[in-house]
Parts: sequence; structure tokens; C-alpha cells
Amino acid sequence: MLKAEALTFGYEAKVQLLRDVNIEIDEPGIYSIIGLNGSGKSTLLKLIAGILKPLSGKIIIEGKDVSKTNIIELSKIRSYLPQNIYLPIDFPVIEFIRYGAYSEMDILSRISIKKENEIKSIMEKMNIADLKKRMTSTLSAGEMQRIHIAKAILQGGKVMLMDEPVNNIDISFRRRFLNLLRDLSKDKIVIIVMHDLNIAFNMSKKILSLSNQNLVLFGSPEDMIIKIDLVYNEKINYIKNNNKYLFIDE
Amino acid sequence: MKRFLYRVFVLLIFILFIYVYLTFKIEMSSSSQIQILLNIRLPRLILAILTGAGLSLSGAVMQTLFRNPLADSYMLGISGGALFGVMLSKFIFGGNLIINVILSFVFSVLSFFLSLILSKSIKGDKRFTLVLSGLMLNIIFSSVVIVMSMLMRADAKDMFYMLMGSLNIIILKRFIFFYIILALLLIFSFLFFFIKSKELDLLAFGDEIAISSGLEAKKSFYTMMLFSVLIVSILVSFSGIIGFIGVLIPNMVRISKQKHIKLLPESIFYGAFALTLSDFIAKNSMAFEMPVGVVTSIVGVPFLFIILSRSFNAKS
Repeated sequence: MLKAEALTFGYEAKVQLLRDVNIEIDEPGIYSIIGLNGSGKSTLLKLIAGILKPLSGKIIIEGKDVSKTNIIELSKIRSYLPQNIYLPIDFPVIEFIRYGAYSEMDILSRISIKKENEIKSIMEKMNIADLKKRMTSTLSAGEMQRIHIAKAILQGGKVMLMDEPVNNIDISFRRRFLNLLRDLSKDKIVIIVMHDLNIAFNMSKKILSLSNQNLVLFGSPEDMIIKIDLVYNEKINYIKNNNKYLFIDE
Repeated sequence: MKRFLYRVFVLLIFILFIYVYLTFKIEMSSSSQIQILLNIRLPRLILAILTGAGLSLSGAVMQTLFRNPLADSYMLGISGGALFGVMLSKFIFGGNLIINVILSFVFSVLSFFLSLILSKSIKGDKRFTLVLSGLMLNIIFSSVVIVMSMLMRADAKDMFYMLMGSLNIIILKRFIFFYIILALLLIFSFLFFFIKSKELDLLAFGDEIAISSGLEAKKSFYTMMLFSVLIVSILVSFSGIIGFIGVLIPNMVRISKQKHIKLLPESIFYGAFALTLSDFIAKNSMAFEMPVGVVTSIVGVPFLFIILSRSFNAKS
């Protein structure tokens, strides 16, 4: 359902951030991208989303080549949560979320009643129903993060790409959100860029790691845990119990 | 309901004002005075409405496209380029109306790309480098325009009218068809932006969000810039450079309207209103006629200061 073939990218042609990345994902589930800062995690996600264009190679989602697909078509098969949640302008919260259904909007930027109801239920799930009448400039970072997530969920698609979705989200909502992610991943490929190894290793079907030496590894948590030190170039401490991993900083 | 009544109220005031604008100091019983009303005041009123609407609309669009509350045709150097084009046409071709508009368009497109390139080579916050390079271009173009008009031994008053804007035009009967085409082109451009208002909303969120939501952001940006430049170049070739309307009005409307589907029509309305009012003041407040840009600047700058201190504070 999602395939990256010989993907190469660099902001300058000589300095390649990603070299020859190959991924093949056939079944729904959560897939994490891990790696050091600057190893190209967010860049890879943007390439898959079609926001950046690869220097060479291609990405295929649902049989469609991302760089050759009409952008409206593309918006129906994949959604994307950006890392930067700051908006350059002030905007009504509900109207912003509504733009998750951009491809279905009429000229007066209205959407169907069905979609409006969907927004309502997503906002309840994301615990932001009470922000309905607020403006984006009045929100905290965590609230802003949830609004972006709500917009991405509304957009839907078989592939959801999320850049650090649990950023800024408080502990009490975090568990509910992770359950929501699990629900979504029942019939979708959810690819998340994740710094929190506990989430990455305990929730993912497979993990993709990027390191600064253009070394790309892709495998199940059991395979990846053996190579984890290689990814971060240092000893990573963890405890394994009942097939669950607990990573320890000290 | 309250909002609706308020709108009707403002609209009525505008219509009342239009009546005053047209009939001020005119004897309705004299047929020669009515000729003045129809042949001089009415075209001027139409120009004022279209110019105010166009400057305000293009300002609103550019502020969104550049995510910069200061952006407008003046601040981006586009109107400077347009005026240079008009002057060049007068200098070389003797000021044929059609060539005026064409050269105005060509040079405003050029100066837009020039200010983009310049702003990229200045280090710092893009919001400010763009305005900085636009203002630099405007100063250069204005200086060249002054030199050219001196070479042509033009009247100093006419020079001021061009540099500070004036709606004092003489309608040439043989170009009437061309005027109508331009007016329709302007109205078509207004409609174009109205149809594109949902794209403008997305572009205001930033390219990443726009692309991921299903918008070809780059293509959309350049198409809209092209139409903005088209509007500005047509307006400048008739009325010169009128500053501040394009920054002031959209920023005022934005306080209560953020969605472009509402922001754009209101910007058009208040822009038209504000410029007609300014023109009336410019024409009648002194014994002589002032450039209308003088009025918009004197009234506009303090307002602008208040609004910008508000919007920049909100962001930091």
C-alpha cells in the first residue's frame, strides 16, 4: 500500500540527507520513524506527503506515484500533521479544522452536514469540543497540537503521516490519544516521527531508523532493538518485560 | 440581525456620500453643470471606487500570500515599477493610453520579481526584508520618474499627482471602449479572488499545510500574484501611486473577519469608501486640489500604527 523506491534527497544536490531509502509497507498499523536530530526524519515524512520532491526515486501510495498524482487526489489518500503547529495568522478554530475537508469544499468554503458532524465527533474525541468558538491565537501549544491532529483525522486517507504527534500533549490526554492512534491504525497506515522510544517500540508494527551516516534500518521492534545502539551511536539502556520495552535515560 | 442592520446602515451612508460627492456645489437646474456631473464627476467617482477597491483587495491578497501585515503594492515596490512603466511610455511613445497600461503591467511584474530576489539576498526575517527591498525599489523608481518628468519638462504639479496619486483624470472619448474593457478586467479580477478565497485561507496557514490539504501552493501563489499585479498596474496607470489604503483597510477588516470569503468583499467595500472619501477631502478641503495620496497618508499612518502595534503584539 505504501512503497518508497531508491529515495534520495538533499537540500543541496551535493549533500544528500537521505540516500537510497527503500520502504515497503503492505498492511495497516503504526510505523515509527526514529533517529537522531538532523537525520532526516521530518524530511522523509515530507517526501512521503509530497510536500518535498525527491532528487531521485519515487514514492507510491495506493498504487499512485506521489510526485505525479494530482494534489487533490493525493489529499484524499494521505493526511499530514506538520511539526510546526504555529499559524502565521489568527483564525477561528472550527474553520481551521474544517480545512481538513478542503477537497470537498464548495466555492463558499462550506462542507456537507455529514462532514460537519464528523468534525463534531472528532473534536470530542480529541477533547477540544470546548474550543469551538475560540481563535487560534488564544490557544496553548497543546491545544494547537490537538487542533492540527483533528484536522488531519478529518482529512483521513489510507495513510496518515504525523510528525511528533504527542508533542506538547499532557500526560492525562496522552493515553487517550495513543488509543485513538491504535484505533486509526486498524485500517490505516499511520507513520509517525517519534522521539519517545517507549511509544515507538511498544506500539509500532515496524520501526524505521535513520542515522547520520545514511544508514537506513527497517524492521519489527524485536529486530530493531538489537541494532538500537547503532542508530544512536551510543549505548541505549532498556528493560524488556512481557514483550514490552522500557527505555531508561540514566 | 444586528450585524445585518449595521451593514445596511454603512451602505446607506456610502450611497448618501456618493450623492454628496457627485452633486457638491452643483446647481442641478443648470444643464452645463449637470454635464460636469456626468462627464467629470461620474467617471472620477467610478475611478475612485475601482481604485480604492482594487488597492485594498490586492493589499489583502498580498498580506496573505506573504503572511505579512505590511505587504501591499506600495510596500512591495510593485506600484513604483508600474509608475516607471507609465513614465517610460510617456517618454518614448508620448503616452498612448494602451501602451501606458501595457508597460505599467510589464514593469510591475519585473519589479515584483526584483523585490523577491532582493529580499532573498538580505539576511533576516523575511517579513521585513521583503518590505525593505520593496521600499528601496520604490525609492529608486520614484527618483527615476522624477528625472524623466524633468527631462520632459513636465509640470511639477503633475509630477506630484503621479508620485502621490490623484484621481483627477481627463476622460478621452476615443478610448471609451478601452476604459470599459479595463473596468471589466478589474471586476473580473475581483471575482477571481472571490472564487479563490478558500485557496487564500489555506495559503495563509503556510505552504506545508496548504500542500498537505490539497492545494498546489506555488502555482496558486504565482497565479494570485499575477492577478494582483494586473490590478495594481491598471490602477497606477490612471491614478499614480496611492499609498496606505492597501495596508490600512485590510488590516482593519481583519480584526473581525479572518476568512477570505468575508475579508475580501469587506476590504473591497471599505477600500472604495475610504478612497472616495479621501478624494473628496483632497479635492475640496483646500483652495487647490491636493494629491489624494497626501490625504490617505495623513489619515492612514496613525491608524496604521495603532493596527500594526496590535497585530505584532498579538504574535509575540
